[in-house]
Formats: sequence, C-alpha cells, structure tokens
Amino acid sequence: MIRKNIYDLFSGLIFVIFFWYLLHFIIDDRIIPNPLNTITNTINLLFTWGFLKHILYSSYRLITAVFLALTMGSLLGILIGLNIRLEKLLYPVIYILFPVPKAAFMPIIFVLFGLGDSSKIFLIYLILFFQIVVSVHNAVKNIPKEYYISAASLGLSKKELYKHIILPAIIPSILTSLRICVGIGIAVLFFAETYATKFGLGYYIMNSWSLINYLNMYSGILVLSGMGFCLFSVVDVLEKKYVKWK
Amino acid sequence: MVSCTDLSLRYDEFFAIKNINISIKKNTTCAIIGKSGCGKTTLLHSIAGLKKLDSGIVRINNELLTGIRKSTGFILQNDSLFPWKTIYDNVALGLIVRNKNKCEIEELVIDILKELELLDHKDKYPNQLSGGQRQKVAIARSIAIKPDLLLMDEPTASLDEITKESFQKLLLNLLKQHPMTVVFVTHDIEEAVYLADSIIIMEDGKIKTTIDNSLGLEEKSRDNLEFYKMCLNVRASLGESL
Repeated sequence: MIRKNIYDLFSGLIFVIFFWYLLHFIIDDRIIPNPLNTITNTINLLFTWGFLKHILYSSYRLITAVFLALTMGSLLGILIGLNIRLEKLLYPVIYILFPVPKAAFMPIIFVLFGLGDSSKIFLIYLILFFQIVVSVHNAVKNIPKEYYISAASLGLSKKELYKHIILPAIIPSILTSLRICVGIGIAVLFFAETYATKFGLGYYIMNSWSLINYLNMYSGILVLSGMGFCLFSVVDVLEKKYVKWK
Repeated sequence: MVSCTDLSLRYDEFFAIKNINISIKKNTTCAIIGKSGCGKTTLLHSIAGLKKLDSGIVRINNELLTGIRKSTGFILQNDSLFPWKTIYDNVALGLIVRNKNKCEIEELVIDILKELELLDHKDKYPNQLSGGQRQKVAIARSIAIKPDLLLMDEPTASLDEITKESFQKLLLNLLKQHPMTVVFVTHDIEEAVYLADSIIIMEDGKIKTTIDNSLGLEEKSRDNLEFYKMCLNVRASLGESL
C-alpha cells in the first residue's frame, strides 16, 4: 500500500516536472524557468535564515487559523447538529453568511484587528470556519437514528455517546473539511500576505515578482505548494489512523 | 416478566398504539406480528423504554419502567453496529459502559464470539462481514450484557432465506443455553411460529388476538405438519391484516 502510494506520488511528480519542462521550452526561459534550476535554487534558499523566516511566518498563520477554525467550527457544528433550538436559531444565520465572500470584509477586519498577524489569521479563520460548521453540522445530522437507539439500549451516557458514537461518526467529515480547508487556507494565506507585511511566502512571491526575480518567485511557489502537500500528508496520516474502517 | 397496561401513544391525531394490554411470562418468547404501520415497532420501543407514552404503564419484573433498562438487550432490523468499531469493540461496548474491568470484558467477549463462531472476525470491521454475520454480532453485543429481556425488531428482515433459517436456528440454540424473555417483531409467520411461545397479532395499533404456540422453540418443528397448520392458523388470524 505504502509502496503504491510512493509510486503514485513519484509518477505524479514526474508528470508535473515533464509538463513544466514542456512549458519552459515552449514559452520563455525567464517566465517559466528551468525546473531543475528552480529546485536547486529552492534547496539553496532553504538553508538561508531569511527564507526560512518566511516559511515560519506563513506556517504559523496558516496552522493557527486552521486549528482555531477546526476546533471552534466543529464545536459549533456539533452543538447545532444536536440541539434543535440552537439549530433553528443559528443555522439560518450560518446558511446566509456561508456564501458571503468574507474577503470583502477585509477593511473591517483591518479596523478591528489591525494590520498585523491577527488580521491575516482572522481572515483565513473566518473563511474556513463556516465551511467546517456546515460540513460538521451535516455529518451530525447524517448519523443514522439506529445508532442512537443502539447506544441508548446499550446504556451509554451522554458523555459516552459523544466519545463512542458522535465523534467517531463525524471524524471522516472533519478530515474531509480539513483537506478542503488546507487548500482554501493556502490560497487565502497568499492573498493575506500580500498586504502590510514583510514576512511570509505570499510577500516573498510577490516581492520576487516585482523585482523580476522569477527564479525566487517560483521557489516561493514551490515551497508554498510543499507546505500544502505536507499538511495534506498529515490529513492522510490522520485518516489512516482514525478512519481505518472506511 | 413484561406487563403492559393500557399503553397508548399518539403521533398528532394518529394513534400508533391504543389501549394495549399484554403480559409476557419470564423466560418465554413472544412474537408481535401484523402489517406495516400497525404499531408493532412502537410497542417494542415502548417496552424498551425508548418511547414516551401518552398513557399506560410498562412493568418489567414488577418494576415500573421509567426509561432504558440496563439489562434489556435490543437488536434492530437494520445494521446497528458501529462501523468505526471492530467486531470485538462493538461487542465490548456495553460492558465498557458498565465499568467491567478489562480482563473480565476480554473473557466475556471472547467466550461469546467463540460461541457464535465469530472469533476469527474479531479484528474486522462490520463492513467486512456479510449481513448474516453482522446480525450475529448484533446478537453477541446484546447478550454480552447478560440481559434478562431481549427485544428484536425484525432481526431477519434484511437476510436471505438460507441465512435467515440458520440465524433462526442459532437464536433458538442460544435461547436454550441462555434462557431469557424475548419479545420480537416480525413479518414472517414461519419465524413467529418457530421461535415464539406466544404470538400477538396487531391491527391498527390494537391487539387483535394472542395465540399460544406449543410448537415454539422446537428445533425439529419445521419437519412437523402441525407446524404448518399453526402457520395457517396465524395466517387466518391475521386475515385482512396481512
């Protein structure tokens, strides 16, 4: 299984590099640099503190926002999924706010949280939060009623019901949300790091672009993608550990 | 053992069950049969303590039923096993919540799985088993808590004919080894006659009639002509309810 995954990964990588080479030859050497040069440049950059600082800033912002959105979103999703009164009160609000483009609230977020890290983390958090609430709420609602009857007949207390039934039942949805969140989160992170900061991969990419240093720009993109890949792999590991039954 | 007095339950204006009075003796089996929507499952859920009644009382072992009892086992028609738990963990769950110690749980679960020929599957997940095996696990999970009352809601409805018959035999043997009071809902006349000491026929939320069945719980009863006469008798009693 592991060997098959590594094989799939390797063949995917070969395909991407091949496609990259193709574009490099067809388009322009400066706009699409040689993949090998980009990889070498990235490896060299990874040994410089200046570049590592950008990675650390981006990781901190992304992981904090995802963690906060995941815990608070899951909690609210479970609460409104189980409590009909709370659901009647809050779900219409969440349903209305879910499709609203949260990035449009950026000026308000600036006013409330300033221009520093907090506003960037909050923007990512805000976009992910609704996604998680909606999918956890749906997961709770989709737990078959037979499970509750079985649990009740086995004498499970409310606490045991959460531990043995509700949480395990919604873990697959939480992990799917997490996977989607990582993708969206990175996109928002890039956007958030293009203003009022001198640190982060978003800033690094845009700064390299304005300096017409395409090689560094691509290295930034490569590392940002690598960051997404690492977080995806963490979700894979969690899935293998907690969703063995699927 | 089980005594229901004047049970009534309404969903809006519709009576799911109305003025139900039944009495089931200890260590006997009782089948509830009738057409869909006649109130069989509601009655079973009421005996399980899962329904809030509009009126009437249920007594089990002369004690007033106020909620779910810890010594009532319940088997549902559909898969009610938890798919994220292995077979072992599914069977052990009722014991874990009863605060049994780990060694005791292991001993009990292994014994039951062995008895039901499920030991080889203990580390598998429910979706790796057939429908018949999953229902066997559901039985194992219910009897692990050593219930004095076992309730089953159409336990064989989702099984094919061959699996159904072997499941019924297994249930019969199990009841001989672990005597307990059993109340089950079924659509299957043969199953009712094969497994039940008494058969309650329901119609429109009420009890139409109760038939005493001397042929119940006899392994070879299906080889006997009397068995099929009893089936015809039940069928006739069902009449338009069928």
